[in-house]
Amino acid sequence: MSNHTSGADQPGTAAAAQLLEAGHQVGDRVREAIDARTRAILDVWMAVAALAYALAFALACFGTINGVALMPGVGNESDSGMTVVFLVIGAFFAVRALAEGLTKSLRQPARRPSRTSRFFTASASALPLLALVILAFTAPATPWPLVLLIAVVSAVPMVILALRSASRARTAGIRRPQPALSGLLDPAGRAITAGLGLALGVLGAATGLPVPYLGSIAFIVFALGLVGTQGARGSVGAVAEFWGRTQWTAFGCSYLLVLGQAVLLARTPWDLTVVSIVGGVLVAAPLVVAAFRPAPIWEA
Amino acid sequence: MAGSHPRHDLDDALHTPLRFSVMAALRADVEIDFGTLRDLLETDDSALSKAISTLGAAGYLTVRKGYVGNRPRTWLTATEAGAAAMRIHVAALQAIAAGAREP
Repeated sequence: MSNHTSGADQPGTAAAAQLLEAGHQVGDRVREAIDARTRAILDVWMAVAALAYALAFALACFGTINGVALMPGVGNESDSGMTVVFLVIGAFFAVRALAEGLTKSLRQPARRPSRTSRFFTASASALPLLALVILAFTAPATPWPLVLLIAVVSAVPMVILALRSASRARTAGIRRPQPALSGLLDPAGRAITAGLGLALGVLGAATGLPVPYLGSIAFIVFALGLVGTQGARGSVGAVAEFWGRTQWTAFGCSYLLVLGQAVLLARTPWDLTVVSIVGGVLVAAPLVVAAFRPAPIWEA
Repeated sequence: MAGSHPRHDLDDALHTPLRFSVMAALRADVEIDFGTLRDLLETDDSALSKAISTLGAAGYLTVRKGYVGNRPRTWLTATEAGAAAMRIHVAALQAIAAGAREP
């Protein structure tokens, strides 16, 4: 090439090493900014997921139908109320696993929130949820406005966190347009994505079937599967890094469908077997289809 | 005169530390705002504009004008040719730097 140096002003060994080091540092700072933007988007969606979770929990577990409380052990002898709770919790476990996996793949920000700050954020979110669980068992006929208020309050810390992250990312001035390259997930990624959809679908289907403890057993297997594979290459969290907009949208649909199914199972007068099976299929379908759709390939 | 010394692979367009740093920051799949790049590289508008002109003339980056809200922004992206040139240049620098560690 004609534009290559041949003069005496070429860098010496020390200067070359210095340039390379400077280049590395600049590249690191850019990657950190890109990851901050990804983290901000994740925080926003986690806030939406937390709010949906709290509302679904409130809708599925509070109130009475024909004078009978929805929760088991209070006004209803069957275990279906309990498994509806498990269904809601199971969906949120999946969200947490994916979020943790994606967070692990991101560079840690230079200024991390202090341990005290993280403790307060987690507590501020968890305490109202805990209050909801206790109320669901002890006072399922709690007035609706109060239940709704507690559900919304539980999502407030996540929303504040999301707004802060979004504000920081907006001023960063670094963004990713559409990726130039895309391709199918690798075979393990496809299997895990489709498997997660099927597992959520089975969990949804098992919840309302008239088989004693089937929903509880399905939840335990699902939760053990998530916890047992945590951190492994074949885990749900590991695949999150490679998902694109299609896969995340599909998961969002499956998540909302699971929560919707939980509410429906708790409140509907329809045949629960039909609701369970149709719901399970609808829950599984988006992720199974998305597993075989292209995902973006970003520069390393 | 062509030869095997790595200096022959060094690229004139990437020769100054600022132009090299600009290309180290830019990627083909990421857009960086002019102001952000200026702050990132701890330089001034004038020096960065000159570096961008040179790199743009070499076909190593693209410039896109846009808006965020009502504020005009200039977005910069590395081209494929720029990314490839940077890889060759970095490999040459690595070879030169490695020479320092040889006896």
